[in-house]
Amino acid sequence: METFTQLYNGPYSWLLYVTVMAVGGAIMFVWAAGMAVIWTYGERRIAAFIQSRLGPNRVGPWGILQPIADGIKLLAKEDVRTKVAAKLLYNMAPLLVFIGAFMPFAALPFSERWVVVNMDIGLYYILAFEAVEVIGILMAGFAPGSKWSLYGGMRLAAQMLSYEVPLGLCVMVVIILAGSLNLASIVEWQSHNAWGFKEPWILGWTIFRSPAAFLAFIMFYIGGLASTKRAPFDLPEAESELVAGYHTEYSGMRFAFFFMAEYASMYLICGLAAVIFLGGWYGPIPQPAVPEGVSLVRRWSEFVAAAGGFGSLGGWVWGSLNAWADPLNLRILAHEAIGAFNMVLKAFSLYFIMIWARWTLPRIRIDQVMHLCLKVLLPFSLLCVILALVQVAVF
Amino acid sequence: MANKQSPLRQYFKDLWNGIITTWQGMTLTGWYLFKPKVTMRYPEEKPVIPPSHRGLHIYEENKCALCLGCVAACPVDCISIEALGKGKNRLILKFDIDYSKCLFCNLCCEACRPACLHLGPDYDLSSTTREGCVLHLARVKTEEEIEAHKKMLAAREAERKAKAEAYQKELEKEAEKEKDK
Amino acid sequence: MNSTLEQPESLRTEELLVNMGPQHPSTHGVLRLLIQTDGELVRQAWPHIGFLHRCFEKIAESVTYRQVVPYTDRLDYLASMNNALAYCLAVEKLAGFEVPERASYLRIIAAELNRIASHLVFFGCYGLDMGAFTPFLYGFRERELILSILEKLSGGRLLYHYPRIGGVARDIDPQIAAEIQNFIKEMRRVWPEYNRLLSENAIFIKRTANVGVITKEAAVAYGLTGPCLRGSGVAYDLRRAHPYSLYERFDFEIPIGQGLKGTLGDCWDRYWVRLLEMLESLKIIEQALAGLPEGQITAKVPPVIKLPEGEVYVGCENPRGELGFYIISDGKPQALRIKVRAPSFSNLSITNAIVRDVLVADVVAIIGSIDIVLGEIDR
Repeated sequence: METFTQLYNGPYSWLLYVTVMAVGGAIMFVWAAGMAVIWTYGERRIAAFIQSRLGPNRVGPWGILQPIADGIKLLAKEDVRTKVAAKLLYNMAPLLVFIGAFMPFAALPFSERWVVVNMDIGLYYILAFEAVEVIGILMAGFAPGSKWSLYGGMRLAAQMLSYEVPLGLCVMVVIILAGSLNLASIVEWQSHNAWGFKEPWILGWTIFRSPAAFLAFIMFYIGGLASTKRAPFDLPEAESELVAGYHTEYSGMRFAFFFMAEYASMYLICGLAAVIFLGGWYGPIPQPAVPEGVSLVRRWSEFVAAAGGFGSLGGWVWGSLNAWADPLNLRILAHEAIGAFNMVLKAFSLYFIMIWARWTLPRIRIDQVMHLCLKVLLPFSLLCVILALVQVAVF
Repeated sequence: MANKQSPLRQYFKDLWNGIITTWQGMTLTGWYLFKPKVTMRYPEEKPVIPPSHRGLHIYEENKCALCLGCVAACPVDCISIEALGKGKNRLILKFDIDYSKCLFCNLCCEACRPACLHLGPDYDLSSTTREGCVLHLARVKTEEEIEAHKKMLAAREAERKAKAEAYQKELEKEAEKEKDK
Repeated sequence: MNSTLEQPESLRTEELLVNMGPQHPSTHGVLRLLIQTDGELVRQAWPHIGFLHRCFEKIAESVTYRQVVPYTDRLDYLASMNNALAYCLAVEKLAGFEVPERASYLRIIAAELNRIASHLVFFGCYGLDMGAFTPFLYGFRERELILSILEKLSGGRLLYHYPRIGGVARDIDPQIAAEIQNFIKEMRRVWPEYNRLLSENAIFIKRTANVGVITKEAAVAYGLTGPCLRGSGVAYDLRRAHPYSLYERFDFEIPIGQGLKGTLGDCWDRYWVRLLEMLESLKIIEQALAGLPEGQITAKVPPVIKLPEGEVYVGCENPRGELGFYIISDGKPQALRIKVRAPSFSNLSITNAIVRDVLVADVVAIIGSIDIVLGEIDR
């Protein structure tokens, strides 16, 4: 997206910038919301198959329109409100959670050039927004003035304190090994020079570059489960104990905000793990080689300029048609598309494992969560960091 | 039976136990992902109802002897019967079962002497009103039928009275004859 | 909120009185638990019952003895066969009816099948309380087999009205017997899977071992019976101690808790005792089917049952403990008084003593492991 804006440097370049960013943001928003939508269906189906039953299979062929029915139901529900203790907090909480879940998608890439903003601190940006989500949930726990919500909120505070540090340390392992916070350069680092190969294919992935990274991946995944409050760490919303935990008092669209935020942030964790540990778009399916420095947008603008410039309609039309047919352009498109496919494949596999784990494992009690995160994950992640440092220093 | 082991050993043992049992559980559910599912796709596939199933009542009116055994046997008094006449001259006006009370316990059918009441295989009951829960199992008789039956009963009653009076007169005549002798 | 410019002397803390109210996903019915909590730590808990009171004992004074049997089904609705069995045994004992052997064997088969079904509900619901959603579905998949067998046998799927005064209602036929044999095979096949999924799971063990420990002395003092008592190591089962309905002819073990994963008498022990009891019930059913004698299925019982004056108490081993019927009769067709000794009522009484200084999550584990059914607590 940035390359788009580098083309045009006239007096209204800020307008172009804003428009382009808005379009990119809208695309990622739709993708994030789409994740929430399709994975509600996916989760119910997978859960049902594990439990020897069929899932939703009536609404639409194989039930694929079920999320739409769910969405309509949530929209049409009555907004039941308690005599809340804190009205502003009650209203703000779903918004904050939503923001915390959807904003990081701006930095999450699909492929090398298919990203909204390729930030140099992309990794840090994504992790920082988790904290915003936590504030939202703490507010949701306190605001309705219900004791059950309060329990959910307090458990979440304890859980968050516990998992944040090991999660950060595991990410630190990758940063130490790769040497950058920029997601694109992390993937680029994974795509060559490992184990003696120039093009290492799968062996270039972070998890195969160091035993510390492998262990860090597993601990990142467990920490990610805790972060998205998925089973076995779903205490804050424990259905059988706290009715519904921190979102007891929310109904209708407010509940839908929490709901979608949870599924979107699950994709975020899985996508992030795929990028920094599993090679991102440098995946099992090899991508066609393209020269450095070219991008679809630049090539297209060259074609349009050659056909008459941006000022003329003929230039736009003729240039676009020519650009579409050019083999190098198609190559770049294939490169990007296959990269995106790799990325989504990995993220979806990790997502599937998250769902699989939820429907198998019981819930861990809050003090056991803290024991797990602080007494098991924390020492081992510190160990991984030290190992990574040693590896980088020595090798 | 929790032996006192050193905390460090317990720590690693717990860790290993956690990993192993998680893997065991996940592989089990993973296998079940691919096994056949047990869901019955109602209403396209309906369950096979065995003959012993205790569902809605089946009432054979022509066999009913009006013994009122079912009414006496019912623990919740949900059967109500109204009839004209008795024996061969009976006309059953009402045989109602109130399903908002019925336990489907089968005591009424077991108490039925002529075996005219059974609990059948129908299980699909629903209603939106309390009155809809009361099933009228007897055939609804028309006004003419009821009137005709009442007339028939009255006629028979009159006939019976006439016969009884005639017989009484006969007896008196016989007694008179005896006295005369 | 007042704005405070002065700092408070010390942070004022209070203990919260929280209502795990009658409507709650995990109190197994309409039980109201009042818990006094200090943060996540529960100091004390008080169970409040009575939300499901349906005046069973009063109704039993105005209907005849035969008409009470469908009401007994609804006491502990998950173990309907066992309830009716206990009541029928009490009436038969006072009246002196001789139950034919075939009827006794059929009663045992029905009661043990119902025991397995009830323990499967416990297994599923306990998993659900712990947050494992899948064991529930697996348990109910097997329970469906039992329910369809019992439907063929008695006509109902949950409330059977099968044991009658003097015998049983219907006879078994070879098709039902074959289905029972299939079920036994299937149950033996999936039982190890239940262990792999839930019993051996490290998270489940961490949640239930060393939680809610009931000592032997406490168990006996509070009048616990059934798996709650046996989970604490007391080998007392009414089928062995005071055999009824020809149970003395069958060879089966009484599983007791041994503190395998933690302390003796913790939640895991009670859970494990119930799982083992399922296997023992399978053994009993096999033996009963193999040795089913020919004969009548019911004794000659007069159309109007009048019990002689007197009183009788008969207790039976329900899946939840000892269900007892104490009947006082004064010669009329209706009882003078029927008192029900409900196992869950006594089992629940230990809650206040056990739930001290545990976490909220543990309260759920403890209540789940006692396995109460409000139908028989409130009657």
